[in-house]
Amino acid sequence: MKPIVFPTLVLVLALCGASAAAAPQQVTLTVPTMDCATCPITIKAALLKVPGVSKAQVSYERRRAQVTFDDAKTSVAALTKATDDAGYPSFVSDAR
Amino acid sequence: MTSLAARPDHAPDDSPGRGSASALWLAGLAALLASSCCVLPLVFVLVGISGAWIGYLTRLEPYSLWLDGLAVSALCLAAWRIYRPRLPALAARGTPVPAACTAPDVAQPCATARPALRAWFWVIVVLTLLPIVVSLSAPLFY
Repeated sequence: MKPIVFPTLVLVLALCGASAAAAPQQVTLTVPTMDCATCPITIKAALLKVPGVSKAQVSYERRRAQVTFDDAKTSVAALTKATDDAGYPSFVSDAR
Repeated sequence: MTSLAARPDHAPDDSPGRGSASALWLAGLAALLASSCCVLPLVFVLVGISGAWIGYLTRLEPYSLWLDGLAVSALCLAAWRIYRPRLPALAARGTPVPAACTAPDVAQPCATARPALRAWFWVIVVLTLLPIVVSLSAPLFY
């Protein structure tokens, strides 16, 4: 039994380390064409459909979407593509 | 009356439902265009349809209020043409009321248009009002 326990422990620790390394990233997208009542819901739904996205906060007043995502599973390009394909082109905004 | 006599096989102008089919088409088309900017992209996302072409639909947004108004007025016109009382109109014109319309066992004697048209009217009413209600209630779900 002993010879198996140690490699298993190492493996578990390595997996934990890997998931800890993929820290949740946050990006702010500007969506200039978000000017209808249902637009924020559409954009939020489109962003949450992307695998790896854990949170999407859409502000109708500021025409912005704040997305929290796992950068091991998805990328900023995939996020902007998701809103493009929902009908609302978005751009990375530097202002937080 | 002379024109009617010249074309006896034509229905009189005030026959119920006359012209309401085109009004219904107009209402349905206007409602579709009005919802295509805003509610349709949401439906597409929920159903799983995606594509950059949806971006073209959202350009109709500035016109959606006018298109909604057009749809509602076309519906009002269709409602008037389908549901207005027919028999008083016939009596006012002096046209004899058909015998089938005055039978005592008929519940609503020839008063309104045919059932299929009435059903379509209510389908278009729902399809017009649903997107309006959705976009009005959307801020509740932010």
